Amino acid sequence: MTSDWDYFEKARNGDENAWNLLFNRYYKLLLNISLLITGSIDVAKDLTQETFIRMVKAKVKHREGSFKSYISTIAYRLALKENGHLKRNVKLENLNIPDESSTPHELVIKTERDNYIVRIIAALPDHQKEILILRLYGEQSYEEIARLMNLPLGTVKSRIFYAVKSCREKLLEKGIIE
Amino acid sequence: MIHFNEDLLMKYALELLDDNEENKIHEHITSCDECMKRYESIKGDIELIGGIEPAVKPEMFPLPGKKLKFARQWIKAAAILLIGFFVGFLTANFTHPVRVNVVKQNLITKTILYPIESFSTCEKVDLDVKYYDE
Repeated sequence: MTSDWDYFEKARNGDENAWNLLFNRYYKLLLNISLLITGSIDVAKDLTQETFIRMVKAKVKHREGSFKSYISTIAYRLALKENGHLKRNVKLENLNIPDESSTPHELVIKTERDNYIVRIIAALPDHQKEILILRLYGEQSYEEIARLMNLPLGTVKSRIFYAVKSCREKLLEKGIIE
Repeated sequence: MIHFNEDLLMKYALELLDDNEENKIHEHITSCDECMKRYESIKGDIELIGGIEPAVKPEMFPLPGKKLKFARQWIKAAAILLIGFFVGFLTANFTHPVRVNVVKQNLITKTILYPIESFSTCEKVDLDVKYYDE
């Protein structure tokens, strides 16, 4: 059975079919990670493209983890970098931050329920939000997240627990879950 | 029967427990419908939180580096040609050495009164022997 790592290798060697397959398989995941971290769909689209470009050009040292984990790490790092840049720009240019009801997320999230969930995730403290995104969207193992974020494993586990707990409590309050 | 609390079930669903605790909960929920129901509900919530999909159509773009790869092949071919040219140029000197015209001439000096046969690359030949005889 051909793994995504094999398709990745083929894409790097110029195989368009492998490229298309990986693109269709991971586009939404990467867009989601970028969107949840940066909060801007336009930025997220650009970052997703950038992630694919970096994916093809990067030198891969090892293939121990899943391909999903590898590609989501690229998206995560790019989004964090961009997020810092965006935050600095907002501060410098003193731009008006849009209110909750007109966040860019609303333009792209299908339902009101999903929209609310996105807002809940976006409202989490950064240190919890990033781990939640890497775990639930990037499907990275806790060990991988700990390595990536240079944190003790226990801290990663504790943060994901409180992040999910906080989200669930808000969903319960809103009556979205029972 | 003692039931597990929500936090513990959530930790189980998030795979945060060690093997020992995990086995305990696994054994319990497989025999307790109530806890299994609560566990499945929590698992569903987690999937909901981690399952948001933006309604955006993928904006396909061509495989990056393909043009570059094509260009790289051209550069490689040009480099090979260039190296071939230089190698050919350098080795040509060995296989076809520069021709040197060697002419025979007689040199007679005042101190040496007899003719010496020697070779030089000088093209001036047939000097008047009498001139040197003085």
